[in-house]
Amino acid sequence: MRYASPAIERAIERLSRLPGVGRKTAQRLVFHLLRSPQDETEALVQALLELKRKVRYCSVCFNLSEEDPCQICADPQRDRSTICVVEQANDVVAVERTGQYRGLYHVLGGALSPLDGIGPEQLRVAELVRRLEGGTVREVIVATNPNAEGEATAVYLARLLKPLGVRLTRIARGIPVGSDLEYADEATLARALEGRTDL
Amino acid sequence: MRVVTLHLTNYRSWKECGLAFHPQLSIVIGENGSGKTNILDALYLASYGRTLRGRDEDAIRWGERESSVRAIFRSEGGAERAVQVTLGPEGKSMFLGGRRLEGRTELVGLFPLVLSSSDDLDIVRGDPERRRNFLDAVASLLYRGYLDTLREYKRTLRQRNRILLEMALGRGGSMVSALAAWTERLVVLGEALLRKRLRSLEELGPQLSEYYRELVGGGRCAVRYLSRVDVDVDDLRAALEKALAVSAVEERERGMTLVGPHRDDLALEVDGTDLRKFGSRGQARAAALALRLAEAKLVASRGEPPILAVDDAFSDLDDRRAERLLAQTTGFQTILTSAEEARTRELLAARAAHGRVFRIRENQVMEEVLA
Repeated sequence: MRYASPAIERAIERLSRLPGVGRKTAQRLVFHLLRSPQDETEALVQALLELKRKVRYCSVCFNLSEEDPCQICADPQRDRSTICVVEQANDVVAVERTGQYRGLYHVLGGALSPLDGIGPEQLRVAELVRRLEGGTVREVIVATNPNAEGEATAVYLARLLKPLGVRLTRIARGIPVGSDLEYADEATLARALEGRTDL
Repeated sequence: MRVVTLHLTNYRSWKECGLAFHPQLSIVIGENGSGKTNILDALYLASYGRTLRGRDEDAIRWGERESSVRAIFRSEGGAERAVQVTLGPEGKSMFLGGRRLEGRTELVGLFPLVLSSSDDLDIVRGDPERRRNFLDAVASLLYRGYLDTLREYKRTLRQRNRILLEMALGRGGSMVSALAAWTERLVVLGEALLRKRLRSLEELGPQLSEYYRELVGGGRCAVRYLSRVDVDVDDLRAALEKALAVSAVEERERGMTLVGPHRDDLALEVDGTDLRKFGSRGQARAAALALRLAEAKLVASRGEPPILAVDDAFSDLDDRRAERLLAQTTGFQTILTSAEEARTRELLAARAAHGRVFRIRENQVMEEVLA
C-alpha cells in the first residue's frame, strides 16, 4: 500500500534503507514521528546532521571521535607503551567499559576476509606499523574477535610485528565462540584481557 | 533415556497418530508406504529439533497449515519432560516443558537418540563426505567444542581457498600476503580436528568390530583413518604442515586446499575387504548397523543410554543376523520398524521377547502386548 502523502512515502523509503529496518518498521517510526512534538523531531534531525558534521576518525588510532587526536590518544594519563588492536570502534567502547585497560588503541577497521575482498591493505595495518616505529610502544594486545577472521588477523599481525621487537599478546578466549566482542559482558571481557597470552 | 509417548498431528502421512512405547522393545509393523518411517522421523524431530529427511516445511501434511510432534521422555532417574515441535507457515517452534527454546542446540543431547536407517548404507558405500559427517557427529558427542572447531575450520578453509583461487586466476593483490596467516590457522584447527577424530576412532573401532562379530557371527570388521596427512606420528601439526607444503604448487594451480581433515576418509574393512567398494550388500548393512550400535555405546559411556531406533530393521539380514540384532539391543530402549509381519512375529516368538507391537493398517495403529 502507498500513502497519499509523498512526504510520508519519502520518509518511509529513507528509513527502510537503514540496516535492520524493513518497510513495516519504517512505517511505525514515521507514524511515531508524526505524532511526536515538533521539537522532538527537530532534535533528531539535528543529532543526525551533527553526526556527519562532527564525527571523524582519529588520525592516530582511527577511533571515531570529534577531536583529532581523539580523547584517548590525547589523554596524558594513558599508558603510551601499550596499544590494544581492535577491529571496530565499537570494540574500543567494549574494552573501555571493563575499566581494566589504561593504554592506547588502534582500530583496524575490520578483519582479514578474502571472501569479502579484504586483505591487509584494506585494513589500517601499515598505520599500526608506523606507530611502532617510534620505539615507545612495548606491548601490542591483539583484541580482534574470536572467530575465523579475527584469529587469522591476529596471526597475521603476530607474523608481521614480532620482528619489530615488541611484546605481542592475544586476549584469551573467555568470550563465547562465534559472538562479537561488542556483545561480550564486562566481566567476561575483563577476564579475557587478564588472561591474554603471548602470540 | 526412554520415550514414553509420541504424538503426531498432521505430520507427513499422519493426520493423527499416538503411540505409548514399551520400556524395552517396541516394534512398528506396516507395509511399505504405511507411514512407519514417518513415526521414527517424528521421534528424530523431537530429539534433534530437525527432520530426518528433507526440509522441515516439507514434513507438514499435504493441505494442512501446521503440524506438530509431541513426545514425553523419561530419564534413568525417572524425571519426565515434554517436548513439542511445531512446524507452520511461520517456521519451526520448539518447546521444552512449555518453555519456548531459542534454537535446536538447546535441545540436542537432552534426549539422546541413535537412529539407523537404510540411508546408513551410504555411510559404508557412499561419498567420503558421508563417512566424515558420521565421524564428526561421533567426535562432537565425545568432545565438547568439537563442533565449534569444525565450524571455524570450515570457515577458515573457505577464506584460504578464496586466496588460492585468486592466485590461480593470477589475481589476489594484497590478500596473498596474508596466505601464511590463514595457513597457520588452518593447521592449528586442522590438527585439533585430526587429534579428536583419531581418538574417537580409537574408541569406536573396538566397539564396531565387536558389534559386527556379534551380528554376523564372525568376520573382523575394522575402521581406519585415511588421509594424505601422515597420521601415524605424534606431531600431527608438523605432519599437516608437511602435507600442505608438499601440495603447495598443486593447490595454487587448482585454487583450493587439497589436504586436511576436509579431504579425509574412513576405510571400513571386513577381513581385509574394503566395504566402500567391495563386499556384499549384507556385509555393508551389517557394518552400517554395527556403526550405529557402536555410536549408541559411546553415547551411553558419556551419560544416559540413548534410545535406539532401527528403521526396516530386518531387511538385508538373514534370520540368524536378525535374531542377533534383537539380542544386541538390550540395554537400550529399542524401537524397530518392519514391513515383514509374518517374519517379524516369528523372530519375536523365537526370542520370547517382551515388548509391544504396533500394527499399522489403513492409517490406524493397533497395539498388542507381547506376552
